[in-house]
Amino acid sequence: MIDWAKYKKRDIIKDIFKSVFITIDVMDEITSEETLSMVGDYLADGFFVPITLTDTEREKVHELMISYTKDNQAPTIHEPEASVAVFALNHGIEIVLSENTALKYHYQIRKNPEVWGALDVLKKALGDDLITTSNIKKEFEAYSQETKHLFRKKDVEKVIKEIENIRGTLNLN
Amino acid sequence: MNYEEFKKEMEEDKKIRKESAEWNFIKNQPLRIKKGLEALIESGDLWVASRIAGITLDEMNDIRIRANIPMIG
Repeated sequence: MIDWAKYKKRDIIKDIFKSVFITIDVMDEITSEETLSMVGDYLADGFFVPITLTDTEREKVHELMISYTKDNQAPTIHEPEASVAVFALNHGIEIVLSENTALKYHYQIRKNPEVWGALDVLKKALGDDLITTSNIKKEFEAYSQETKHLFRKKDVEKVIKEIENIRGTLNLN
Repeated sequence: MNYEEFKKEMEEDKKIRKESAEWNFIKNQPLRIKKGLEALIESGDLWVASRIAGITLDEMNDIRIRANIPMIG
């Protein structure tokens, strides 16, 4: 979200999701004018919905963190990621927005919830023509330039192919 | 992706962060910020880096941009 706030076309996210839950803990981490401006606007219009975890959910967060820490074949995750995972699992939320690679690793197969980073959000926006451009690669480069967030070359190539397939299917119809 | 592939990807990302980083800028930061930036280069985890630096995530993000450390993913 902190990266996303620096993206000029950040408001396209409102065309993708009806609303986004945001933990109070994350809100406490927001201090720059840019991010405060985005979060303030999104809270004011009801797009962001602030939440706190219950005591039971907090216990589950700790259990999740401990279980991953004990597993020698899995990366550890920290409290912010464990919190969103537990909240999503507890309330049947299908998509979690996070750039955390460990969280993405843990939910890559089970996809419950799906973990979307900026690349996935951009893929959805480009695939659905919420961003209209004939040069998809340039849009990823623009995001990287504006946010100083790089995408792996192989991931971008894979996503471009997927978007082209979606657009091709749409054009055929 | 299995865990070995995941670790390999993390190592590749770390190499990019190391090569991109403005080391002179990092060396001249106060101790906690410097250690936070070093942790960010190692782990890629902005939250961990911000805890070490003793600042908010947002502040850490601005400093990592000034230190030319890309987020990758």
